[in-house]
Amino acid sequence: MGALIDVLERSSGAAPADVMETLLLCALLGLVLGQLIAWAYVLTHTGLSYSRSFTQSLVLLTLVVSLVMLVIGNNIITAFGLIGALAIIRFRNVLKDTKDMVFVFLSLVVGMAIGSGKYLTAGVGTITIIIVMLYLHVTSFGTKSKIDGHVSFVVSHGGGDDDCYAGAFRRFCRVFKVVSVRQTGTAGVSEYVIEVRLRDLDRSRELVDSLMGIPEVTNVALVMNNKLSEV
Amino acid sequence: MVNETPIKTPMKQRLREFAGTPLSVVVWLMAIGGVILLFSNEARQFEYGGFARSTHYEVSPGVDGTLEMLAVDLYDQVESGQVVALLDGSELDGRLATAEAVLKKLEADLTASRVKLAAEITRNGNRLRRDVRSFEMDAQRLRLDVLEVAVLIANDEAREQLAALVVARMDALPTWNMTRKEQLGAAQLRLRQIVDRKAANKVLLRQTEKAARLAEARVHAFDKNLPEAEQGLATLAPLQTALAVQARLLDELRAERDRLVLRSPIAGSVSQVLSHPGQAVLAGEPVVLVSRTFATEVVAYLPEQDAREARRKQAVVLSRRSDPSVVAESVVLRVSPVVDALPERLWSRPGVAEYGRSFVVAAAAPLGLAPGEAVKISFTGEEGGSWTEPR
Repeated sequence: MGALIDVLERSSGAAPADVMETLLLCALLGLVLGQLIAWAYVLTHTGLSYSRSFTQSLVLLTLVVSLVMLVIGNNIITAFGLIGALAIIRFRNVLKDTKDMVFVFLSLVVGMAIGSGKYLTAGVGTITIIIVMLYLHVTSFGTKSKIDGHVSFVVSHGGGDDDCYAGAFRRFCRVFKVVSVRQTGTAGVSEYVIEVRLRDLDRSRELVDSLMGIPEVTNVALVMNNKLSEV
Repeated sequence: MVNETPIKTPMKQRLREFAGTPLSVVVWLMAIGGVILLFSNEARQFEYGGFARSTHYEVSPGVDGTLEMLAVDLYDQVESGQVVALLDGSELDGRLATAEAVLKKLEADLTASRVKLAAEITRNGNRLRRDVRSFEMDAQRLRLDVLEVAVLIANDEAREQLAALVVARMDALPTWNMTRKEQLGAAQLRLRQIVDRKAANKVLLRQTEKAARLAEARVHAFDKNLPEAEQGLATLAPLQTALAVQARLLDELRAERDRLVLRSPIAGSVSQVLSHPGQAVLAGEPVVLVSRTFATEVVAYLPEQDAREARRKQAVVLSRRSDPSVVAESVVLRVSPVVDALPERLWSRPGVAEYGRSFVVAAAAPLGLAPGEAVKISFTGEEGGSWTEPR
């Protein structure tokens, strides 16, 4: 163990404490600014092509590139080496996801750090970025949708209460919002689509049953969002 | 009627929801806290770079000559006064031989004078005067003996130094075989013979000096009772002057012999060897550079924008760049009056020169800095300070 620490200390060039402090500062500042950029992206994004994976890549790229710059330093030869290696990998593989590219980039940089003798940077950088990756995964960072699913049903207004379904939603949903009301051809019959955020995901069936128990409500359907609906 | 009472959200779902956006915000805020902490820590401990340095001494000959032997190798530890090199003494040996020859001539002259005085004594028939002349002859003879033995000792000392260096160098060689052992044994025997001979000669010198002193005293005692003794002494006066000249010459030769032996002025380590055996060296030209093994000062550099901050007697904290955990207090001793180029080792970008002002800080003993070691210096903001000098 002592010999391993000696090797790491010798490889760092500078004092290990300085290297650790620089790496920690890069990681924290990268996380702060990367996350800020990602949030700005989420807030300003419009259109249908939103990707959570891309948003997470924005955070990871900030960290990976800061590691790249630590490894390259002032060495122009290493910089050209990085570009060359990345070009070879990119043009021999089809990277469909931005996150895949980040992983390729990370492997490349860690390999370069090891090859150029910066073992401490390689080790600490890898562990730090993996921790951030896990954090982004656990928190589902970049998830734009806050709803659990959509409930559609038909209400027949036989001179009764228009808001007859609201009680069931108040019991089972934390948030519910009518997103669509469509009048069918038959007079007094409306088709509702409501997005819901459930109080208990395991009791979604009870919401459907409760709505079915209302005489004016028919054709109840609950469509839950799953994780794959937002990649 | 539909039951509107809200159902409870299970803990598992609450945790899952917390792991969404709220946790991201918490982590982000913590990261901001960490960044602020690291930046403030860096700002508080703003450090400058420098290097420890020690005092160097050049060992150079006082006379021109050829380097006969180098007694030390690069990075050898030397004590103060230890012989580090020896200049060729063959010329001096020749002059010592000349001095011996002159002594022989003086002996011959003395014998001639004795014969002449004996004839005179026979003619005069004065017993007392004859005794005085006889005692005077003995005293002169003993003075010559003292000089002769002194020359022998001087020669032996030169030979002893050379033989001792040969033995020391042969002994320090790492590989061993029978031939090497035999050579070492022969060299040690030679050295022992020289040492024994020198010791015997020293005993002989002391005895001869004592006898010469007694003879002098005897001459003076008899001389007082001899009213016309001046005539005889006047006859020996040229001989006495010649003897005095020869004694001075021997002193001069001894002093010159000492100048052929180069000694280390301090205890330290040989940091550079600049000449090699067989090479002609000029007077004052360094042969060996001896450095102290510990740093005595630290030369630090302030970047140009901070160049005005350093003042004499400011308290600073020193730490090794390789081990910042050990720190020691010190004080600024001197500040350079000019802004100059920083050493290349301190440039943040290779090839791009940086400028600053250098200042000298006393090296503190607890750090045990080696010369050339990189050091971090931070100002405490106080004036004055104490430090422990390395020894």
